[in-house]
Amino acid sequence: MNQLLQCKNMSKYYSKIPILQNISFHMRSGEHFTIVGPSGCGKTTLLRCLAGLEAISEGEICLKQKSIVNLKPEERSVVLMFQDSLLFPHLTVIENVTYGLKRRKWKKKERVRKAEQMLEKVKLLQLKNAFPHELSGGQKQRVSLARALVLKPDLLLLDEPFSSLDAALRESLRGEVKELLTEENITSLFITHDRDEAIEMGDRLAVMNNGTFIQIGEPYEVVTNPSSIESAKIIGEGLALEEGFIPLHKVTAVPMEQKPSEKDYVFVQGKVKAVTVKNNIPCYRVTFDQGSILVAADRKLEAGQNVLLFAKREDMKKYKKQDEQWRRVQ
Amino acid sequence: MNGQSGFLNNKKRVITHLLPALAVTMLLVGYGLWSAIAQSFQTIEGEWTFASYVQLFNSHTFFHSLKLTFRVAILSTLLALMIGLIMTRMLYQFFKNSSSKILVWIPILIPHFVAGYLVYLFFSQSGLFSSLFYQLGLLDQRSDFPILVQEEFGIGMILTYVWKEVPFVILMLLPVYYEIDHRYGEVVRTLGGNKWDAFKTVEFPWLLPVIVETSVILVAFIASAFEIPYLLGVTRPEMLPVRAYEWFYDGDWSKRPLAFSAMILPGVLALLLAMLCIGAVQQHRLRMVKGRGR
Amino acid sequence: MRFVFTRLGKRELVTSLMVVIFIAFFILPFVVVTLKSFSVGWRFPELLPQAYSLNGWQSIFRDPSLRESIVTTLMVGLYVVLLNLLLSLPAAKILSICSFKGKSIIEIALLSPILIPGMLLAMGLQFTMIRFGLADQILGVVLVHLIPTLPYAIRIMRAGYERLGTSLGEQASVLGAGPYLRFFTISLPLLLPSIRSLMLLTFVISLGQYALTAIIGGGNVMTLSLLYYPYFSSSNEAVIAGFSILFALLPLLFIGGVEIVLRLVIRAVNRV
Repeated sequence: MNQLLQCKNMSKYYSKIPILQNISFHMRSGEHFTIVGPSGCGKTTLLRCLAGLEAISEGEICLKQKSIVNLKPEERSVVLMFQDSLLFPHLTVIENVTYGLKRRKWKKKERVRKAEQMLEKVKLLQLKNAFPHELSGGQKQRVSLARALVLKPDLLLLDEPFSSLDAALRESLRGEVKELLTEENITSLFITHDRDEAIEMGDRLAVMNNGTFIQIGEPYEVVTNPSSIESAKIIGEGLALEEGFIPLHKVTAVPMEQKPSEKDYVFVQGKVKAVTVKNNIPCYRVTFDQGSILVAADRKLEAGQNVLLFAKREDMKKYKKQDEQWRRVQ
Repeated sequence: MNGQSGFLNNKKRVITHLLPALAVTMLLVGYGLWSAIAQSFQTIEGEWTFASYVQLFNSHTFFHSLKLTFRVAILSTLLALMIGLIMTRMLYQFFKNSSSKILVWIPILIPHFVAGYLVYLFFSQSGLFSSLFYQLGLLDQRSDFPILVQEEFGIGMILTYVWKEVPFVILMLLPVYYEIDHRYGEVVRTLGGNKWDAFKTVEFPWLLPVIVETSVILVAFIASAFEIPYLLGVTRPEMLPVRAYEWFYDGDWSKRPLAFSAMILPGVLALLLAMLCIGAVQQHRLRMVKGRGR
Repeated sequence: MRFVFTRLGKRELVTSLMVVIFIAFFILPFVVVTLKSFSVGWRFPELLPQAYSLNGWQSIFRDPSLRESIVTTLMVGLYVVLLNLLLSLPAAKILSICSFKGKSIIEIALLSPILIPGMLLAMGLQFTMIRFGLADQILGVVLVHLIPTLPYAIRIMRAGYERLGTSLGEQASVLGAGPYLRFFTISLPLLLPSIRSLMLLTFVISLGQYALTAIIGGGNVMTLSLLYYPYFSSSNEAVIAGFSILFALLPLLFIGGVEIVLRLVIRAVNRV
């Protein structure tokens, strides 16, 4: 058993309203685990519970086989990186990075050396004497990451650390961070509402909805084979229907007139809302009564046109039964 | 996020953090008030009686004093609020950097009675304004200068309070002005409103709770303050706090009940006034707080 | 374009005019009083002093009761400020971050001394304080000075904590800082502007108390304000002027000293 973190039946209530319900999962040492879910599903609360900023109402959290439920945040070898960088505004970059080391009573020389090494890795050594207000958003997040990593925590929690950055910066920083986490051999738990980010950052992925995990698995598996319609809507890349899930590459849109036979095909009525280009292929944003989807088409469609989304019946994957799914998770 | 953390929000923590301040306040205010009220109903021998109140209500001088006290308090408060509001409106950009904000703090630095001295220095008959008018040839002798200090209407006291409280009003209002999203004013202007409309719909609703709070504080403070009337007041009619203080220290202790009741009555009056004002804006304040949350 | 320029110009003109008015009304009097403290026999109808000397200041500092009184005043002020800090910091923190049943009642109770006449409370407390031996000494005076200061202290610190928020403290705690370290390394330096206002305001309020000090101090605790009134009726106007300036200088002196101490503490805990 080289399980670093085990959470068993964790629940959390705010004045009797459940925020987290019966969450169980484990993480191996060195693993990168991501949790994806819509905002308000309880992801942030889960991280705050793991960091010790909130008490859990029921259940057990073990880090390295020891219960940490009753430890204060400062006593847990768990560091949380918040949505905003939360650099201490009155301290310089290097003072920020050494903050945690100082609390662990490192010698001054050691902590400066260590902090400088880490700043070098996030490519900000030249700014070590700057104050936070002099940094850009991306630089702040990198300092924040350095401040967390320099402590070599057993577990690093990341709460949508890129959500305040613009799209281009977010994508470049994502790769950089994952590389650094792997290089430093840090076990990380990453939460996001962005499915691309979730898939890219995680070795394993959990889908969260209404305070509970609805699916856990390898990113590819989860994306192409969602276990329920909720999961399909949150993470699945394709058409999420009541009776099953159709991966995106099997779905095409055709004008209304070309209705195929009902026996071999599944189809849904929709309407083209916009025309766009993705991966150099013209794509159509089609809305239907369950949501909207970006699909390719055999022929040119126009905005405002009524269309049919269709796929072969054999390409549709049925959702797994709940109990079957949970057997796979445990 | 509601800003509460589990490990912070436990009962024990709330109690241990609040208890010292609460205990000290309740001991000083609760016990002091109870003791004051009890002593106002007792004779020096410890018998319970309404005598002191009866005596006050039958006294013309008391009502003159009461009138003077509240006239000074309310006039000073209104003037200070108006001048303070105008100054804040015009200067909040200027006061944005902290070094110019020091200017507002300077008048706050000195005690009220020193401000009283300033008013005396400038506005008394032998004061600097009197000198100035004499030099300009507007006066023939110092007694031609109107009596502004130590007279019956309390002009000197009002001047002092206004001078001292305008900076206080500015300090209370400045944070509100920085909090107001001034783009709303632009919204009003683009929707066709004029400057007055913009003030009425954008600034005023934000200011109202603080204005009411400030005026309640000021009226209550001025109505019960001793220092300025002792320096700049006259004996007839006398401001109530001075009257009470003199009764309190009157040779034998027989006038002490009078001293207590003479302070309790304006206190109760100020409190009623405060409750009325606060009650009137409470609904409004709740709405603003909720609107801010959205 | 021209229209915009003239408008902008007008607005700036009005603002600078207002600044001039503010300075003329609120700052200039201090200059005049300072001038007066160095003057000799500046009387009606002279607009400027005819002669200057240090006589006023000399007679102030030759007065032994005044020198003693400065020490007493500073002691009272220091204790009042310290007690205010100790009582208001924890209370303000809880009031700013927690919500619980009965919170509004507690808030009203804590702010009540603003609305209830301080002199009435002091008169009410006098007899009991005499019995418990608190009257006629510094401790008793310090306690009654809490009446007009504590509500402001709590109000100021509460606003400070609300601006600070909880997130930086949480960040510090996950980085391994316990409650005391969090206070000294994060809250204290970031709350410094509020703490500064608190100390200045409570010190100034304490400095300006005549009635409360006289009632509880019973003439044994001679603070400067008790000496001021007899001086006010004295004939040497340079002396009164100098004494008045002293009242503005003391808070500055005090806050300057405290600021140095605070900065040293903060620097000591926040080295790299």
